Amino acid sequence: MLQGSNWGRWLFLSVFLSIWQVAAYFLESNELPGPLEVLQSLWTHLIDGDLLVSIAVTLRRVVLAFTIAMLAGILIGFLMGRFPLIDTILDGVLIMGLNIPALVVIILCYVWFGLVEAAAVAAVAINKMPLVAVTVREGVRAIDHQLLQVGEVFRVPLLRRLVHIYMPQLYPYLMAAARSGLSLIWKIVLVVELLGRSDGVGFQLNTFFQFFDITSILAYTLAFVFVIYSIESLLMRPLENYLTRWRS
Amino acid sequence: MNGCRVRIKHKSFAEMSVIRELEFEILTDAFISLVGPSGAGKSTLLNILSGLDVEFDGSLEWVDGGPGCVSYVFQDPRLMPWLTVRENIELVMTGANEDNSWIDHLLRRIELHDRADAFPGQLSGGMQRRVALARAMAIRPDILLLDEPFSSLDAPTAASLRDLVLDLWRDHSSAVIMVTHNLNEALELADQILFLSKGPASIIHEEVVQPSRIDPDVVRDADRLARDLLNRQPAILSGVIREEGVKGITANRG
Repeated sequence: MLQGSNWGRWLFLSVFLSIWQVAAYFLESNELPGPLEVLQSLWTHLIDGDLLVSIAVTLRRVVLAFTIAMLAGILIGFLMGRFPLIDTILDGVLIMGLNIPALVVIILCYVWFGLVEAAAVAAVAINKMPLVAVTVREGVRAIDHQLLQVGEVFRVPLLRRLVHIYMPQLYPYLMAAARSGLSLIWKIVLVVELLGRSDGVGFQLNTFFQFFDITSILAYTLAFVFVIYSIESLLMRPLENYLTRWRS
Repeated sequence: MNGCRVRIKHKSFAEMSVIRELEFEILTDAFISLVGPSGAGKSTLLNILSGLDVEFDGSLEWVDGGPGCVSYVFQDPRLMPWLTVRENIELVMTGANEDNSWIDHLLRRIELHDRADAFPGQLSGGMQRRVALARAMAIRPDILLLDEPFSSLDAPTAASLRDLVLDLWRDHSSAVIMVTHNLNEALELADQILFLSKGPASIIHEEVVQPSRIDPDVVRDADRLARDLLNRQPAILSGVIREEGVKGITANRG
């Protein structure tokens, strides 16, 4: 079954690349370079070194913003799920945070704090945090209180209770928040870089756009997709498999 | 532990009175069964004894100053599904109690030594109950609370679990308080049965069952004991247990 699904995946990819190549061949336009041309461009940017540097700079911003958004979002979500009073107070702010366009937050951060690195990271983190808080809040609300009673009756120490009774119930919600968080942060980081930074993938894409260099834009996108897949398959999926191994 | 005197003057949820003027003593090595109809406040009483519910008018007076070590086997096993059998037992053990040989001993007693690394989801319902029982015994409790421990189990599994409870009780000198609505079950296991009225709960009859099950050679005929009891106390028992319930129990065991 698994082999079957892999076979299907490769077939789809081959068909997609073939259609792309054929379309590029017949259009003969700079606006749609073929996959081979894109791969050549990718190799050139890789050899030149600008691709790796840009991805490293962007990755650093992603990691920073992701960490801040997750930590703050978990704390706020936990408090909102646990204490109804805090939930009532912060609910309005949370709804506002969820619905304010990312662009508005980015512009305001740059205007208020200047075109600096901290403003860029803060803008991304602020955009992401409400989504984490909402997800964690729902997780805390769904906690099985009967299991918490076990910890209470047997006087399990607080830290052990947190690690072995509380957190495992939140893992699915934390994984969902992390996944949706990463995908959102990638997108917002590029906009932040495009608007107010002089390095990173977003900045490079803007430069290529000025020259209508679609080949380089697609080469960078390809590299970016590769990084996302690597994080998913090397970090997120093994982590999820480990945390939910008891379900198998 | 030299025992605990339970005095509950009043316990209510919102406006509804659940327990009123309930008093009894738990002696070391006692095996007490609480029998009463649904809604008689039996589980509430266990919650009070376990410390889960502290909002009541009354007191738990520990003879040696206490509080004593109380453990609880809930009606459902309440094992952490993400922890293995061994980890579920380790979870409740602290400090001086943390002893691998003790866990191994318990795992052998519940005959799950070879399944120590299994997750609860990989075990049958009866096995999960056994793990819950081992977890409760792991802290070497002064009082072991059992809330309908044999309900929803098939007859052979329930019988083997009853034997296990008796063995552990005899070997580890804990007092046992078992809630059940099954009269035969109470008569088969307990040395003392407290019959509770329909809520608000109070004790309407106390039955001391002889000979004591602390002696491993004692085998009781629960059906005969139930018939004797019904003949002696028809008025009290008709208010405690619905007639069809008792018949059902007798028929099941016949």
